[in-house]
Formats: sequence, C-alpha cells, structure tokens
Amino acid sequence: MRNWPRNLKLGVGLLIAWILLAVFGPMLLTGDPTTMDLMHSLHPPSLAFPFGTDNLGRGVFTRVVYGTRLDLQIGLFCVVPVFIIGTTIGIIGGYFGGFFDGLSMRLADVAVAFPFLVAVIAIVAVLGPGLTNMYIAVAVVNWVSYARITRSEILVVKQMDYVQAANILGFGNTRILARHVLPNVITQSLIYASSDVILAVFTGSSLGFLGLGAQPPAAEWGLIIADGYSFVSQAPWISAFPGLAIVALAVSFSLLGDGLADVLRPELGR
Amino acid sequence: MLSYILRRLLLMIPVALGITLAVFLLVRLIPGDPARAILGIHATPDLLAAVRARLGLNDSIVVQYLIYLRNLVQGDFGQSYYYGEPIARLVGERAVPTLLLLAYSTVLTLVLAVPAGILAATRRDRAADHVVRIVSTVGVGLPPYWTGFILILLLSVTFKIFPIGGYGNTWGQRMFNLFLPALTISLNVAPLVMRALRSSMTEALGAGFIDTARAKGLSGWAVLLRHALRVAILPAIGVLGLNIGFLVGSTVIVENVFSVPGLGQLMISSINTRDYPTIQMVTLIFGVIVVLIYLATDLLQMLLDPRVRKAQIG
Amino acid sequence: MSGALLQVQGLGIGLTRRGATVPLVEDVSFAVRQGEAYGIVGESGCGKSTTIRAVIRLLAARVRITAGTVAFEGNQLAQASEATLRPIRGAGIGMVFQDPLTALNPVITVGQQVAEGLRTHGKGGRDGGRERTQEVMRLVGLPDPQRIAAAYPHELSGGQRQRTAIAIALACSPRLLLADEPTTALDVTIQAQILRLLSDLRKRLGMALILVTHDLGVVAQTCDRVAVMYAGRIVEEAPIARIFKAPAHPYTVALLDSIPRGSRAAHPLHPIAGMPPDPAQKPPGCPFAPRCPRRSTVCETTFPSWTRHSGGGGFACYHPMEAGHG
Repeated sequence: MRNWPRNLKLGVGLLIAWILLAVFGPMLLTGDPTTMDLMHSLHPPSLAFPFGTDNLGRGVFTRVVYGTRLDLQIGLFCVVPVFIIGTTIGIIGGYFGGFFDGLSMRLADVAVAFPFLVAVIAIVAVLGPGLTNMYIAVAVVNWVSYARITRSEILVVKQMDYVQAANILGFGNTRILARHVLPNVITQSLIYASSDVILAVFTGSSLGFLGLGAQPPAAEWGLIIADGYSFVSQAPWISAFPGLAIVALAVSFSLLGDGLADVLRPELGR
Repeated sequence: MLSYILRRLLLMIPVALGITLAVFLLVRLIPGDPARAILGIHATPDLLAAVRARLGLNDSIVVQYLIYLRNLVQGDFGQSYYYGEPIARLVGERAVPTLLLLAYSTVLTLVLAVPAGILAATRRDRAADHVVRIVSTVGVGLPPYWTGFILILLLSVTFKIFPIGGYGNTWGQRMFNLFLPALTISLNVAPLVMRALRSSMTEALGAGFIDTARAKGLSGWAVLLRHALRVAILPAIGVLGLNIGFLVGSTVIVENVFSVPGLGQLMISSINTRDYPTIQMVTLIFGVIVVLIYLATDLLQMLLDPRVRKAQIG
Repeated sequence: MSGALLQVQGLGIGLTRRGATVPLVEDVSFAVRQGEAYGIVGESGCGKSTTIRAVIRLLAARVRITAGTVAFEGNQLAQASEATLRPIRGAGIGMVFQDPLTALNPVITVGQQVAEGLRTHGKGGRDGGRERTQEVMRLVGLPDPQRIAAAYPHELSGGQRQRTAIAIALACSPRLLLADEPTTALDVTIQAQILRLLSDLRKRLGMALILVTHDLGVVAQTCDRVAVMYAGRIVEEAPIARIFKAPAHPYTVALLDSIPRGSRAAHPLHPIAGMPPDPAQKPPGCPFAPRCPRRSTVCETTFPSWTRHSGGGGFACYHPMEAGHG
C-alpha cells in the first residue's frame, strides 16, 4: 500500500469516506430529508441549516447527505450488473467466437449507435419513470462497453504463449479461462468500471433532474438540483450544494480510476 | 475518396437497419396494450381500436416492421398525437437548434481544449500544467444540468449578460442565446479532448521532425502549430469523435435546462405527453446523427492524415 | 585558428537533474574551416551528438550549455537568443538527423517541408519556393522531383527520405552542414550512397561538413580531419591519414581495432571490455583509464593535458602509443 501512487491512495481514501458518509451520515442527523416545514422555507445557509433550506423547508444538507445513499446506490446498481453481464458476454464471445460472438457484437454496434443517455431515456420513457426501470435501461445499453473491452482483451490474451501452452497441454476451457485468461482480462474492465460509476451517477441524477429517475420526495442529488432551478435567484444554495457533491464524488472516482490504471497497467505510462 | 464514402455508406446499412429495428421494438416494450398506454385509462373502445389499427397492431410483428420501414423510406413518419402534425415536420424543425447546438459546443470544446492542451504539454510538470490538469479533472466531473445552473446564476442572474434560456429569431440572437448551453456542454467534454491533446502533443514535441523543423529556422510558434499540433490534433479529434455520443446526450439535458426548442426538449415533452411515435422518431434521429458524425470523424481524420488515407483507400 | 567558419572553444554541456548538473560534455574545442569535412567519432553516449546539437542549440529539455563559446562566422551562438539563432538555423547551418523516418513530418508533403525553410528565410521567391525545391531535390538525387514533392514521407523509401532530409537542410545553401549519424538507420547499400552524396555535395557546393558517427570507416571515406570523443571529451584530434597511420591515444587504437575487416557493419561499437563511465559518476582522472591497457596511477587522478601533434591536432594522454602502430 505504501507503494501506491498518490492518486490511488487519495481515491481509495475518498471512496471509503463516501461509503462511511452514506452508511453513517444519516444516523448522525436529527432532521428528516422529506418532512416539510413551511415555517423554515427558503432559509439561507446557517448553523441550523448548513446548506440552507428548500421551498418546502427541508434542510438541503440533510437531503444531500441522504442523497449520498441513493446516488451511491445508483452507481452500484448501474455498474455491478452490467459489469457481470458485459464481461461474461465478452469472455464467451471472445474466447469461443462463432455465432454468439457475431450476434453480440452486432447488437453492440446497434447499441452504441445511440447516444447513451438518449437510449436510456427512450427505454425509461416506455417502461415508465423510476429507478428500477432506469437500472433495467442502463443494463440493456451499457453491457456493450464491458463486452467490447473484455472481448478485445481476450483476443490478445488468447494468443499469449502461456494460454496456448495450457491449451496444448489439454487443460479444459473452464480451467484455462479461470486460471489464465480471466485475471488478465478483468483489470481493464475494472479500470473502466471506476470511471463508469461517474457516468452512472451522472445518468441517474440526469434522469432524476428530468423527472424520469428517482421520484419526489426522494432525496436524490439530481432531483434536488431540479427542485432548486425555480429558485435560482432567491435560493441558489438549493441547487449549488448537491451539485458540489456530484463534482466531489466524480473527482474521487476519477482519481481512483487513474490510480488503478497506474497500478494495474503501468506499461501505459502517463 | 468518393468510392470510399460510398463503400462506408453501404457498410452502414446493417447498423441502420439495426437502429430502426431497435426503435421499432422500443414501443413494443410498453407493458400491456400500447394503445391503452397512449390513450390512458379513460379511452373509449372505439378510439382504442382506431389507434390499434393506426399502429398496425393487428398485423404480425414482422409485417408491422416491414410497414414501418416502408413508411420511413417514404418519409412518412406518422402523426404526432400531441401536436397533431406530421412528425417529419416537427422533427425537422426541432433538429435545427440541436444541430446548431452540437456544432457550437464542438467548436467551443476545441477553443477551450486546444490552447489548454498545448499549454499543458509545453509546460509539462510545471505550474501551468498542474493547474490545467486539476481544472480538467474537475471539469470531467461537472454534470451539465448543474454547470448550466451555475452559469445561469453567474451570467444571467447576477450579471445580466446572457438570457436565462430560449433560442431566438435571427442567427445572431441564436448564437448569443446558445452560448451558455454550448459552454455548459463544452466544459464537460473539453477536459477529455485536452487530456488526449496533452499526451499526443507531448509525444509530438519529442519527435524527430520537431528537430528538423527547428533546424530549418522556424519560429517557436510555427514549430508548435504547423508541425506539432498538426500531428497531435489527430488523436484528439479521435477522442472527440468517440465522445460524440456523450456530447449528443448532453444536449438533451442542456436543451431542457435552457429551454432550447430542439430534439432533446421535444423528447422529454413527448415523454410527458406519452407521444410514443414522436419519442420513437426522435430516438431514431439521434441514432442517425451519431452514426453520421462517426462517419464524418473518420473522413476528417482521413483528410488530415495521409497515413490513414493510405491505409483506408490504398 | 583564425579564419575558421566555426570555432568551438571550451564547450561544456550539462544535464540538470534534481537541482544537480551532470556534465555530458566537458571542455570541447575544435574549429572547422570553410569547405572542410570534419568528423567526430565515438561510442554512443560519448557526447558527440550533444556537441553538434549544441552548435545550433537544439538541445533536449534540461540540457544546457554550461561553459565555453560557439562562434559561427563571427556570431556568438552559445548564449544567443532564439531570435538571433533563427536566421542562422537553416540558412547558415543546416542539419541532417539520424532517423529519416521520424525526421520528416508525417502529415505534410515532402515538397512543402523543403519549401518551408526557403519561405522562412525569405528565399521562396515568387513561386513560394517551388522552383528551388525541385532544384534542390534534383541536387540530392531524388528522381522525378515533381512527383516526390507531392508525396508524403511514408510513401518514400528510407534512402529517399534521407535524401529529402538532406534537401531540407540544403535548401537555403548553408555554409555548414551538420550530419548526426546520417547513415546509421539505413541499409548498408543505401549508407554508401548517402555518404557519397554528402561528400559530393560538399565539394560541389563548397560547404563545410561536420559528420558525427560511431564508425571510423565512415569518417575515413568522408572527412579531412577527425576528433575522437570519449566520455564527453575530445581525446584525440588529427588529420584523417594520421589517425589511421599513427594514432596516439589508446582509445583511438581500440576503435581502429574494432573495425571489422572486410565489411563495415552498422552495429554500435563495443570495442573494448567494459563500458564508458556513467556521466553522473565519472572518475576524477582520465575517464578511459579503467578500460585502458596502458594506464598508470596518474591516469586515475588527473586528466591529462593536451599534447599537440606536429602536423595539427593533438591528444590527451600520458602514455601515447609510439609512432608506427596500426
């Protein structure tokens, strides 16, 4: 750990801090993120309300802290399923080739033809707004990135001497895949995943902002920002603080991603 | 060159068919009866039957797709339920602001990224480089709906320089009104291009032809712009092309933030009015735009890089 | 030496690294007369490329001239500003580099790259240098200049590329051509052609040539006088005939012994057991001492002073070879 590059140390540290905030943050707060209190509507930041209050008198700070839970959950639920699905498709297609490979790659061609956000919005539009449908939509579209990355890595690794040797020695495909191919292939997906979390949170909060993701009165950063738009001149704090949270989360994950890339793929250099 | 473009267009046919199929199937995803989803629960049976017939829901799915394709080819995109006018006209009108916004933000992205990338590469590991890198790390993390908010807060509300939104009637007005929306998108995309340029520029500046150029007696600027940048810009354009989907996606958000009457705004308002044929068509148009921009990027790289030209055409 | 075209005096070059300066070249002095061919020979890393790059100040980042002067036609270059150097680069002094593949810009046509220098120095004329470009391309023996001028570097062969690089260097008729290992990256047969071309052009155009190479055989064909460098210093300088007939410095002898009989292979030389010293940890005395068969204790403490040859040149050694070796 002492040899980790600075950005990785910082990234991991910040990630742990975010998780702690998501898990324990709400417990330390006395306020509730959804209870309205019209007596304290649109208060500017103060000791009682560090980030001020919104038009319904809810503390923005409380909502942003609760939002950490929801937005980290969005990051997790958007990335983990597609990581598993996409990597599996990529491995099977890349290693065995054939019809399955051809089919999955043609599907991938079509999926990347649409702008990611447009595709997700279109699917949510027909399935109906809400987080669950958004997770489905993201899964339908985003497995492609992982499948493509994994597949191209597999094609390289397959040609490596040690895999060829294992093949000649008559080891079964499962064993070759698990012992020799997988560890080499997974790193690239892992690096991609850490930056993909940012994209996922962006997508989730974008949909929240457009009214297609998390539904009111949930405390979700994009949703809070949308709430604040009507009060841009009276109460800019409503939208400003959740945005800062997103930026901070994004920077944490991009440090993590850069750090991982430095450690796992030192040959890429910087 | 022309035959190459034709060949590329032919190769696009499978993807184009895939796009139409995906968009066609999209509406079939609607849980339950699409006609009821469109009309709502209070629809009369007569009306339901009429909509079913119009959607061709009584035919088999293959026939439905073929009819859909035939209509597309004939330019018959159907009628918008909400606006009550042909979708073709609606989409055509709304495409102009979106394309303008796309072009605008691409130009702004280059205007921001190129000088920053050159600065970072020529001052590598010095203060200017660190500043540019920190700014770009933060920039990638700027969600457009929030950047838009901050820009509105600063430049529209506090200093009343730019309007809070809207499009405008003259081209001059439009360029002025679209400045903030385009900037919002660029601030997010420029860091990616800047990073690519920083590394390609660093590599180019260390290349042998830079020595040759300097040995000719060229000025520092001529070496930098005519020799290093000409080579280094190519990977940066590639990165911009790869992120075009991201850029187009951002226009959807930004159009809604700044009330730009483009395709993205049409898409969201159509979702609110359950205008499925319009959603379908807008999605299709977005797909076509992205595929065409990919093609344009490839052609641009061929135009700028004789090595690519040779590899592709021979 | 008065009347010299180029006069390098006490040149020192250092690499700045973490606040400290590592000397790459120390106390190098030589002079090149008008129309003369001067060779600089040594193993890779001996500072020969750094030395001629310093002449027109094309040093890598963090590499700096720390001492001495460089005078070209009376202009002091060692500390001159970029603005002073620019009219001399290309017009007064041209340079040809080692690898013709990387020395040409891949996305600009060959003709434009030749013409660019002409226009920069105001020698483009009415047609933007097109006429002169074709002329100089014919001069370096490129067939069908019209067609090649419109080509891109990757469409040319290695030899054609190096001819183009020479054309770029010669476009503005410089009085001095610097050639940094111009044949190392080429096939053996092409090497001979390029060397002959350089010799030819020098005589026809009456310009001076400094040829840097690791190959004494190349110098033998091309140069009038030669300097042998080792670990950042010139250890011997002499007219070409003397170097082969009566070398004084043991290192020169070792270099001569390393030339393969019959053919001259393009490998970098490893003439003697051991490696040149790391510039950061150079021994205090003669840097060649650890590898030298003739060393004595004095060699390991003090760098020997310069002894003049009777016929010009000289050497830096306490124990020179007796005349008649080789």
